[in-house]
Amino acid sequence: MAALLALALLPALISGLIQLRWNTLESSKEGEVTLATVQVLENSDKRVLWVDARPRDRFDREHIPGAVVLNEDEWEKAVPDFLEAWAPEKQIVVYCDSDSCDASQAVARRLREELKLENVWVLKGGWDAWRQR
Amino acid sequence: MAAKIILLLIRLLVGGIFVYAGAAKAWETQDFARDIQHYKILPWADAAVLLAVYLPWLELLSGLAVLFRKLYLGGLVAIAGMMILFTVALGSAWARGLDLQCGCFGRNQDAIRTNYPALLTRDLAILAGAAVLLAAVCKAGAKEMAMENKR
Repeated sequence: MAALLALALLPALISGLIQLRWNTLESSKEGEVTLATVQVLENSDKRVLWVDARPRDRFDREHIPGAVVLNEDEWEKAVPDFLEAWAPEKQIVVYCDSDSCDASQAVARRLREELKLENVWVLKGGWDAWRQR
Repeated sequence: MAAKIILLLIRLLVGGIFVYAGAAKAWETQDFARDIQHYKILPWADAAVLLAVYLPWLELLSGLAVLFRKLYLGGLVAIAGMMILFTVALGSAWARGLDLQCGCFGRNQDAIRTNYPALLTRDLAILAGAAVLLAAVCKAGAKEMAMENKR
């Protein structure tokens, strides 16, 4: 057991040294914006479309006013409703529960890649950040 | 004979799963570190990074140890220990209502993502497999000792 624990150290050290850039972990999250930034956008002439990437039952319980639900589980079904609410000039801000969920990143990625949309952002802190505003 | 075949199958399955899990994450340190952070168990982010660097290699080597029966007992104990750790982490995430990706087999490979009952069932099944293999090792060791004493 001790031999295995020690043996795993060597490749871990090598791969760690090759891979890690210690300070980039947080900043490597793609396209994240804070709630403060979104509020600045909302207060300016830019229009914001909130996209709720959480499961529908959570959306039904509570959501950011004006948000449309679009999650990976019912992607095909929800895309038409999303497109109806969308307009080219709108800034899309996707959120899920909190910093601990990945759903918003996944939905934002699909919006960029599959629907070829620009101006897609992810709300840092998600629904928790909105609730605590 | 049938028992031996069953034990062999369990060994291949448990060892194979760990080799796969380790290999899938060994070069995805940043993603895995983020997955670990999402569990909100560790006190600081650097601890998640260290764990993300080390754990996949421990999984990989433990899996290989079990598959090839080198450092076999150590490999089994390490696997059982890790499975207990993973099960507790998942259970606690479920209890706290966290919506996360399990991070078990790297990114985009968790078909049963956030399905806690399924994930926990899978973890407990692997833990049970490791426990069966450990019991077989203990039984064989006890048999050997009894034969030594007879002599």
